[in-house]
Amino acid sequence: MEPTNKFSIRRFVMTARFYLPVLYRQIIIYAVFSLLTGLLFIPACKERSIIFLIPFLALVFSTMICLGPLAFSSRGSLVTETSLPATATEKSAFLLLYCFIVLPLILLLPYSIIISANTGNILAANPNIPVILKLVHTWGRISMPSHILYIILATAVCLFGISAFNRRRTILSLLMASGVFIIIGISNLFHFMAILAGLHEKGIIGNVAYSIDSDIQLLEDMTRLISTNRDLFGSTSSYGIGELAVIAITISILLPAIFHKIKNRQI
Amino acid sequence: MIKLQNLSYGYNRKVKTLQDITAEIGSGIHLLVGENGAGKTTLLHLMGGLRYPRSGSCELDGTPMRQRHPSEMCRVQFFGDGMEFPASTIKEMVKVHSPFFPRFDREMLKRNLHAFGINENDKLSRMSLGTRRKAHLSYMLALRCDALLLDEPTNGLDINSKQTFSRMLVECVSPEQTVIVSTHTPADLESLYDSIIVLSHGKLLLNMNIDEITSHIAFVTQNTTDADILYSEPSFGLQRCIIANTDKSIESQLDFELLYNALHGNSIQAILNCLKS
Repeated sequence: MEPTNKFSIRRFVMTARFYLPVLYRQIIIYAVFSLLTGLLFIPACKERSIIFLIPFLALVFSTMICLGPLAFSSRGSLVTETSLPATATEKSAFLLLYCFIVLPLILLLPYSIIISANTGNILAANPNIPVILKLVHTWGRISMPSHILYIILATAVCLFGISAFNRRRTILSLLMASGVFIIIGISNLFHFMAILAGLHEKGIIGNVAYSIDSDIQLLEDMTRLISTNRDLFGSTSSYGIGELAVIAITISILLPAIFHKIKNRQI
Repeated sequence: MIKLQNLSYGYNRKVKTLQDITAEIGSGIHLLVGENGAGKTTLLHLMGGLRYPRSGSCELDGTPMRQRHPSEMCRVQFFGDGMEFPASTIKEMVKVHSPFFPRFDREMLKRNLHAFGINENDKLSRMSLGTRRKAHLSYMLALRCDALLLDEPTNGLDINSKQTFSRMLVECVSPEQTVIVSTHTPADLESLYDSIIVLSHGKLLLNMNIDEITSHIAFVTQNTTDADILYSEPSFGLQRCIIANTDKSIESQLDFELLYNALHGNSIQAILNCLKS
């Protein structure tokens, strides 16, 4: 039967199977890592340092998602990929689906299931946990859009590198993604300086000495500070909105560029 | 039928790797030769849809290869140096790659692998370069594409394997298929070629059927040179010569090396004139 030249679900599935030998190792590593992290998180909740573990875990998970596209350069050759009898739409649809949906799910789902199933144990393990969770929830509500876009941007940049370069794909894509991390870090630094300036302007800091008696007091004060000054923090601040707009525009340029690079790749 | 029409390509604007190539390549096994940097691999890439021409076109049965339609890409495959299969074994490659090729022949693959003494479950990463190449070639032939573009296929093969590959080509390639073999060692598959394509500095010097060539010129070895000789080379006290076969009375076997040297020497115009007459 003569193959069709239009998008074909059957051929899309065949394309996914084509890439599977290259990806299955990553899938297993990510799933096992997620499982182990979930299992180890429960006993770690008893420790005082759990407040640092949560953002660290978020950073590790984010980095693993952002660098996920590197698996496509681990094996195989561009000749085999480029000459694969599938449309550019089928190839790029699979790459995008895998990097932005499948891989994050593989990484986050086992961890989330374990944490959800052990909520009682976690809450009972450390008296600070409810306060920590409230801080995480408060911060998450205003900063989640930014963080999600950061991850999408870095992933898109990494995937663009994998699609665009013919040689040294892994190292160049890694460098590009690292560049994005650095730019995000610098942007967050500016945002932090703007927050400090805003808090100083409001008279919240810089006027009186601040002392704490316990971790719980610090966490509660931080939660109150964030929730009462939403105009300074996260995606709801002017800086945050501007940052979101720039990232969204960059992503909207990158995604079609990835398709274009796959479609017109020259060996 | 692969049709090249005023095909030009350059890796940058200043240097043209291929210049204005026009040719039609039909079914059969074709030898592609040229000096280093002549543009052989680039030409094969263009024919396989792996590169886009800067100008002109490359078509497979009327469809431009630059469109990379699945219906054309499943009919052409390129094989060259440094190619890696994404799968860990040939068996896995069959599972993930062959479904894209409707004419893939499992039995042919089994026979090819058996001829080379390779098991389809053997890990490709643990094979030597030569063995891996044999596995790849076995698989490529079994895809039964209309056009197979082989860039130095016998590189890394031992003498026995070259002979096995030669027999394999005869058994596996059907009269309707087009196989283009780019090589610096035409002697490896000498008896199989139906035509020869000669590139030099990005230009097409010759694209001609072997029988047609030997009907116009003859390849002889003799003691002396004379005025009728188009080109000659000394060889162990004798002269290997190309002479005009104007009355088509001389039957000779095409000496690829001699023809190649002649086309890259001062006699090129005389030989081309003789071939066109």
